Amino acid sequence: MTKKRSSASTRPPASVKKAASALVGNAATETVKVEIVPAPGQTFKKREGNIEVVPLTFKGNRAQQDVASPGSYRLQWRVWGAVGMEYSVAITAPKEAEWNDTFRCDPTTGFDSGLKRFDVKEDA
Amino acid sequence: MPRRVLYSLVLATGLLLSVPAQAQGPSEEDKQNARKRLQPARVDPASTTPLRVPVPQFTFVAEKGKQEVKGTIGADIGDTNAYVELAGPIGENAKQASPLTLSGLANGARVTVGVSRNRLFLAPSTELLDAMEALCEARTIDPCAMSRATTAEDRQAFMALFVRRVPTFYGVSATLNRDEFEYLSPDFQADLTATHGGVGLTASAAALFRFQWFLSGFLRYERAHEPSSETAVEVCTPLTSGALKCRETRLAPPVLNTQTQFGIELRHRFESIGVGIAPRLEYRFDDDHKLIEVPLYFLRDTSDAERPTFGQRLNGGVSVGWKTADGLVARAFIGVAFDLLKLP
Repeated sequence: MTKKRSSASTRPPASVKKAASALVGNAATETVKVEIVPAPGQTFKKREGNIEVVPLTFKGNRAQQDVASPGSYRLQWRVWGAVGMEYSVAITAPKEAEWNDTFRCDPTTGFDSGLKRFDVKEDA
Repeated sequence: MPRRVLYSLVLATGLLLSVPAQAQGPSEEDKQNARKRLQPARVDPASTTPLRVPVPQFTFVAEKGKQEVKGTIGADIGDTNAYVELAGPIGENAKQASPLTLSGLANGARVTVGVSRNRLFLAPSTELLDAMEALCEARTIDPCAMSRATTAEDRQAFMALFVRRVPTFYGVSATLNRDEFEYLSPDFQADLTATHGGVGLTASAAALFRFQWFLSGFLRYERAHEPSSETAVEVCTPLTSGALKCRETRLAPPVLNTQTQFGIELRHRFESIGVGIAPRLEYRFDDDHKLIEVPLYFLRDTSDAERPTFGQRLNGGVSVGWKTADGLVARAFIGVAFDLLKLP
């Protein structure tokens, strides 16, 4: 398990009041991962993502970022795929709650974007 | 490059298999309901876009008197996409095509190398994230994603937050080809052949307006040999049965032809009536040839599987146009998908 500290430790601005809807954690001992993956056999033509404006690292079609510092984060992603193409976004932590969902590129342009807030807790 | 592609595919596949079951977040029922609200699935394997994707793609194209296989592979480097496309003819009964041989390009084959670039997404900022979050709260879009917006208005508002006001696309490509020509000696005594290479250079640019209207243009230079059109003859040889076996050939070697073309195209989808249009205008500077064509595509629509529509069954359309040489031309086409974002 990777234990390096992530550069994505920027705290959200005070103006954002909405509570985090996904809790993932034990950051000090287990890293939280963020992944954006197209459906099998499909591929993005363009894809970008960031955690509080710190860019995610894409390797091929897959984006992954370790988040080791406790705090509240927002994941934002922007993709361009074939029209109607499905893809999944996942925030995973080995010990605690996880979040994943499936999205679909726009039927006209193939664009899509989303935002997900999540917390990384102090190690228990 | 292939190793990298394979590595990406293995990673992507492995990752999907390894994503654990969700323990928090929307339930499976929620997801089913969300999917029902999603846009109709219009994943079309024939669909192409301005950027080549970093996996091998193979297509087979058949026209009257011409059958061709085409393979493409590309790679993304930031906003730039590079690709190589190899195409070659395949015979009616042939099981394989060999565009490349040890001595280079095979007869009738061509190789295209291209680079394209796009300016699509806005740079992220905390203000942009705030705005996106505010939009989702105000319009009750949960999860906060454009694909979960239920109205066109919401999707437009969402798109304005992450796509540039006028996304632009640019590309250049170079094509090399090799063709073999057969012709008859002037005294009709000998069958002769000549092999010549050709080259084509294309520059194209496009912009998407209001996320609905895609305007593109291209400038293309081609230098290639063509059969001598003024010396076309039909040569007939008597068979032992008394019948004649005839073939069309030329009485002179192929001639070198250069041409420069310019074209513009506008693409738009009329969602409400289920059609897409792509009117285009082309002009050839060398001989003042003009082409105007208005293709009408029937959009595939799988949004209501219980009540299949005409467009759900058909992938194609009709076209009406005018060419300097041919006059009015009307045609129907099938198996061609409509893409809003498509460079010439």
